[in-house]
Amino acid sequence: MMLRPEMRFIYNPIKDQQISAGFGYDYETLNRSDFTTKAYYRSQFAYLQLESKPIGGIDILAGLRYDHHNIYGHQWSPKLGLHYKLNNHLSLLSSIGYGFKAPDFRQLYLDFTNAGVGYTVLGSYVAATQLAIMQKNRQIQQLASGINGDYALKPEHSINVNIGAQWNPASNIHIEANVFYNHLKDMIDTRTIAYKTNGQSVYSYYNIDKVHTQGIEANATWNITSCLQVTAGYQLLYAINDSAANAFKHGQVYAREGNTIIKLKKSDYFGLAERSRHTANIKVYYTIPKWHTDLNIRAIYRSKYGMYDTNGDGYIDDKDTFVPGYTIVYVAVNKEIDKHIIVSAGADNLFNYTSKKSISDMPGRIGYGKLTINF
Amino acid sequence: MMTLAFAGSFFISCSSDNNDSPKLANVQSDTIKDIYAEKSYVRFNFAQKDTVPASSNDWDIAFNSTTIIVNGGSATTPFARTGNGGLYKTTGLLSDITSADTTKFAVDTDNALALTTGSGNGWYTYDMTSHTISPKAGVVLVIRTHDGKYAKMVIDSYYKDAPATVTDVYSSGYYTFHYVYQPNKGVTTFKN
Repeated sequence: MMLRPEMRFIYNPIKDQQISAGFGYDYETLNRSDFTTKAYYRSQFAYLQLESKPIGGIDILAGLRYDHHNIYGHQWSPKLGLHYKLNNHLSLLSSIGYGFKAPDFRQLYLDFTNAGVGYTVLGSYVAATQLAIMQKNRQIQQLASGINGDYALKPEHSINVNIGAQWNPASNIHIEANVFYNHLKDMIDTRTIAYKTNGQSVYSYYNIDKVHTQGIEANATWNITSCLQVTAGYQLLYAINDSAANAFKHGQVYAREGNTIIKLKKSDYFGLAERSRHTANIKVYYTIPKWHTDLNIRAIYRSKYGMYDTNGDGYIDDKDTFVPGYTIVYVAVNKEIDKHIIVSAGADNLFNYTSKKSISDMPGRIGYGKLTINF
Repeated sequence: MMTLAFAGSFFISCSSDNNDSPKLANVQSDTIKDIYAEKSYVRFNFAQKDTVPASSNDWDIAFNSTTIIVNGGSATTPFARTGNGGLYKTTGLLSDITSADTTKFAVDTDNALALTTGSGNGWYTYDMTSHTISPKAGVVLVIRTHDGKYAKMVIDSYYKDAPATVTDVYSSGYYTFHYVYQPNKGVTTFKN
């Protein structure tokens, strides 16, 4: 059961000033087979936001949010944003905010075993008891290293800073770029807690003490004609576990090169698992109005990333085996036969990229046809 | 002033010449290849640079599959520890470990071995995907031998012929390791 009432007020005391406020309540309870215990989740929130345009081109947004949670207590989250419109073509934006994220329902209570593949995901609240049952049933080969029976999950706190710009060099081109820095305390992430006798893993959630992510995001949209649009996006990302970076810096991490042992340097640390340094996408939309047809092609690229620590030092470093970078292309065509009927066809992963060795769960090319009827 | 300096230097050289203590034996560095230890415990003696038979009590450490035991402590399984051995695990390059820290040694008991077993806990990690055992890089085992001498060792491989990349997972159970042994009783440093 889920209950989520919310009230919102907007008030304009004078021109160019707006106050908005709201409050709400979130009540969730679940009694499902994959949530072992009856789970409650109760939280209340309230927020106040002031938007002001004191002088030409400047827009200031100040907000304050209050969260109260039945397990995780209360939290104030302030935010300040600044938007400066230099002229009709260029704006500068910046924001700083404090974030709070309590573990969600799944992260606490999930008890899920994939019937086909055989892996298991356990919420932190049920991990200890479910693991004990699995051990008793001889489903567990061994616990992962560093697992000491403490699965408690704390909420995630963050400070987020963004500085960016929006630029319209022409009426049909929009470009935005943004530099970001996030400092996270108790970041919630997944990890392997045990290995099963069927060769698969048991996953759960845990907090990484201190993490910072930083990088650049850029997006561009170009409406070449009214029928043809191209968008492109790019992200540079450094996702760094601070204690890991420290261990590298102080020469406490070792790796093997053939049969020689070497001390790793600070520059050898790659970052958190499953994060690529570079991701990019390009999308082309083409519409043919007289045929009621649209066509789109998307290409998504990600550079190499570490799936898990492969060389036993506990970190993702340059001596690990990485998942090599790849590009996946999607194409789709939609044709509206009449107002109620749409025929679609397409292919996901058009060039059939697979990597059995590194990403065993990546499906190859999937072609599909679809008929949508709206009554 | 000159005379005084001369006298001082003479005194030092004189004292050095009169040192009658027996000349210390050199530390011994060696590499041991392919000790097969997957069927039963195989005992190793650093002074002899070799394995010793199961009937001998003059062993320092013994291997059985991925478990390493030391000849010291109250443990009785799978056989009694009759020596005065001990062991601790430390992190570094072998050359970084210049002496044995006598405060750190642990011994085997029936509840806990000096070298904890299991992937990631002791000297190796087990890769669940490739099913291979890899010695953890940077792990150095410091050992007190059954007769109270010191050694430091690094395990290089658990596979026959110590391949850089394991291709045959069935050739397991072959220990290759290199070590430095200090043959002089009571000397904790690993230098001459």
